[in-house]
Parts: sequence; C-alpha cells; structure tokens
Amino acid sequence: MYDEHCITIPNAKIVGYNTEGKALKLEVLSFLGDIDSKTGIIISEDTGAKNYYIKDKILLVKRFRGSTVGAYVLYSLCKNGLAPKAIVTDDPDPVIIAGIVLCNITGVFNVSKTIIERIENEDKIRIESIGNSIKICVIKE
Amino acid sequence: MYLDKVDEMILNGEYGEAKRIALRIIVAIGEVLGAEKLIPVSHAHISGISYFNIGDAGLSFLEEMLVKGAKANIFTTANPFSIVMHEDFIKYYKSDVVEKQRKIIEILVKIGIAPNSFTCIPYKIRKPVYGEHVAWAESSAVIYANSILGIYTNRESGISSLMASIIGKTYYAGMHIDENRKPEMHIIVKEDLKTISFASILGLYIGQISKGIPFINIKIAVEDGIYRDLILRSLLSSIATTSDLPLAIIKNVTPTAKYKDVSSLERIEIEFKDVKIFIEEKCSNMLFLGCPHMTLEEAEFILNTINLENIEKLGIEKILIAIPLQDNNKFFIRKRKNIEIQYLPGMCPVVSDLIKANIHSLATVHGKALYYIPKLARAKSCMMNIV
Repeated sequence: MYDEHCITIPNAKIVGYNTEGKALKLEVLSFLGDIDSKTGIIISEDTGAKNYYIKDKILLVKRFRGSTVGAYVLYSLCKNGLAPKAIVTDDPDPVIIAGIVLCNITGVFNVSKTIIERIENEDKIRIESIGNSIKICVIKE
Repeated sequence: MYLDKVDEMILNGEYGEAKRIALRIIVAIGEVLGAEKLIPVSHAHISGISYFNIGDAGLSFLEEMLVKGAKANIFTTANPFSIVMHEDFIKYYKSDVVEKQRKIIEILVKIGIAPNSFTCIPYKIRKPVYGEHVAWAESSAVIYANSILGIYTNRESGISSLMASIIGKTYYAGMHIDENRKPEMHIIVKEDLKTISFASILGLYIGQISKGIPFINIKIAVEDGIYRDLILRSLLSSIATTSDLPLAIIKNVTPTAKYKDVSSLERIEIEFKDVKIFIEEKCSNMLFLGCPHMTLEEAEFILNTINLENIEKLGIEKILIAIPLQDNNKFFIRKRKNIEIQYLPGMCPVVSDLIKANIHSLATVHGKALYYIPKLARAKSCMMNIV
C-alpha cells in the first residue's frame, strides 16, 4: 500500500535540489555544541532529538541558535561524510545558508513551525521545487 | 536573480573554485532573501578571527579556501584576534593554540586582508565615503556604519563577508535598500547621555525592548568630539548586542534622521530607573576598555578623563585597552599613577579564553563586553560607572 500526503508552500525558498529521506525533527539546533562533530550524533537534550544520528536525515529545525561558527561545523560534518540530506526551517539564516551551500546539500526556508509539527520523526519525506513553491510530501509505504 | 555574463562564468567555474564557491554562497543567500540582483561593494570586513571562536573547523575551512585560490578582490579588513598572541599572555596558552591562532592570521593575510587592520573599528582604518555600499560582519561596526557613517551594509557573517571580499559583490537586499531603513518605533530617552557606561546600559536595554529599527530621541550632553563618538559607539554596539538590529536612527546624529517621519510610530519613553538594573558592583581589580576598540588617541583621551586616583581607591590595579593593530608601533605609556596600562593591539579579550590567562573577572564600561565576557571568555564581568 502506497500513500502520500503533500503540502505546497508558496513562499518557501529552496537552495539545492529535490531530495527525499527520513525526517528528524528538532526543537532548536546549533551545529556548534548540539552535535558531536566526530559521529554526527545529537548530544543536547533540549533539541528534542538526543542520541539521534543526523547522517542522511532531512532535519526539520524549528529554530536555529548560535553564530557563524555553525556553518564551519556543518561543513566539517559534511567532509566527514556525516551530512544530513537536507535542512528545512523557518527563518532564512544567512549563516545556515552558507553552510548548506558549502556542503552541497538542500535547504528549504520559510517553512512554518506548524507545518513542521505535522511531520513525524522517521516519516519518509520528499522535497520538490515547483515554480515559486516548494512541495513537501510525506510518503507512507 | 539577475546575473551578468561574468557572474555566470564565475558560477561555471571559469574563474576558479574559490570564486565559484563565494558567488554561489552570495547568490544563495540573496535568492532566499528575495534579492533581484547583486551590487558591487567597496570594502569587506570579516569576523570570526579568534581561534577560540572558529576552532579547528573554521581554521581548516580557511585553509581550504586559500588552497582553492581565495583572494580578496576589494579592500578587506578583519576583526581582532585573541590575546594568545600577546607577549605577556602567550605563556598561559598551549603552543598548538597559539600556533593555530597564528595560522588563521597568516591565511587571512595571504588571502589579502590588510595586514595592519585587525580591529573591530574598520572605519578608522579606511574612512568610507557617505552612501557607499560595503559588506561588513561584526555587529558593532555594522550598526555604526548604517547609523552614523551613512553607508549601507547588512549584518554579514564571517563567511558571507569573506565571500563578498572574494567576488567584490553582495546581494541587494535588506539594509542596502532605502525602503528597508525606515524607523519602526520611537524611543524617547528622558535622561541626557553624558557617559560611556550609561550609553552602554541604555543600549543593552534599547536592544532588548526594540521590536524593529528604533528612532531614538536623546540628547548627548557632551561637547568633545572624541568623547561623543565613544559614547555613540558604546550605545550602538550595546544595542547590537541584545538585538540583531543593523541600524538605529538617532535624532540629530544619523545623517538621514531629519527626513524620517515618526508621527505614527509606537512611542516608548525610557527613564534612568528603567535601565539602572544593569549596573553592578566592581568585580575585578582589572578594568577593560576598548569594546569596540579605541584608537590610541581615544585611549589617551579616556585615560585623561577618568579620575585615576578614584579608580585606584576602588581597587583597580591594571587597565587593559584593546586598540587597532595599526597603532601598535606608537609609543605606549605603561604606567599612570600606580595603575598599570596594558595595550592589546589587534586583539580582543572578549574572544579569548581568559581563565587560562588567570583572568577570572573584568570590570568594564562597555555593554558588549559586559554581556559577552561571561559567555565567550568564561570570566565574570561588571559595569563601572566611571566614564
């Protein structure tokens, strides 16, 4: 049985390409301090995703905290083969955009916290760019 | 986003890998922020210079960019580095930390950053022309640029300012557009501004309560030009500490203030009692000045203004003053009364691990230092109402 639910977000912006992968939701995230950069495991309790791996996940982040250094850490995670497939968030933070470009992964911005709420951890999701909109689909197999 | 032929060629890698990466980052940020085009910038200022700040990840990124051919394409300055490079402090730090800090500076100079520029007041290295577009990181310099100098810059990050330096352009969005530089609230300060410490605590408070670009109606009751500028610098850098504001319009100070209509804006009145909660008692025998940096001339002025006998009675034994690197070769007076004066050329204690250097607390008159010393340097900080 194959079923999918999609939502089209008119104002969302994408950096990178269409992609799909398993969702990992985070309440808050700083690449400096919340992730073990040698293993890619989340170490902070208040992210709401402690002990999860970020590798190959689509990170749905409600809020980023931290500074410029975050982009450097994201870049070194990518170089170590621990990159997430994509980062989906609300506020377009230039530091995170820079990290996404350096990693050559996908970033989606202007996705509200309410939409992120509707996706569950481990849901398989697909991100597609359609004209000026972004379509996010949750796939049930 | 509109890109010209050369931009397209850069994105295709025809001008090398460093330029391709730099332009990709600038274009990506611009597209997400809705920019229609790129604009040339004349000066880039880079942050994230301290090894304690950017760590091994930042160092290896800079190394890679250099290997990929990164070269500053426009005049570029950089923020101060950590105090591990200071002859009096070097002994406290592990040699690999000192080596890595040295390496960061070396790489930046090879990329083409002005070698004597390491400071958070880039406008003292090269005075920008009114109306110029620049790409500056360092929040205190950004807010000073937009609010006092009448130049245009977004609040860039260490990475985006370096990328702007490499391609000589930035995205046309945010603060580069006049339409986005309108006041969104009207703040009336009921107390005259006479000291740096009051400017600092007021700035921290304004940053905290601001919900958009503030129009600040305040009287600066100081005649001397140097003192006035130091007061404004501390006010603005403190605002940019507790907010992400790139601009604050100050009545009779900001070049365009007289053209701004504030009649329909939300009004907030601030009295001294609202902000004094930030004042604490003396916590250290060391006083830190120069956040943002002071030039030697400004430092001299402050040392002549502070009542040194008084602060000696308060237990201050040493004054640390952070100054631009280019002022390094000037003559330093190392002692005033019984107080030792230590200059930190091109450095910033706030972005240094102070505990390692046996500095457990610092008194200051600057809001930004007060706020960040505990967070970044791991030491205690307090505000002294002395100048």
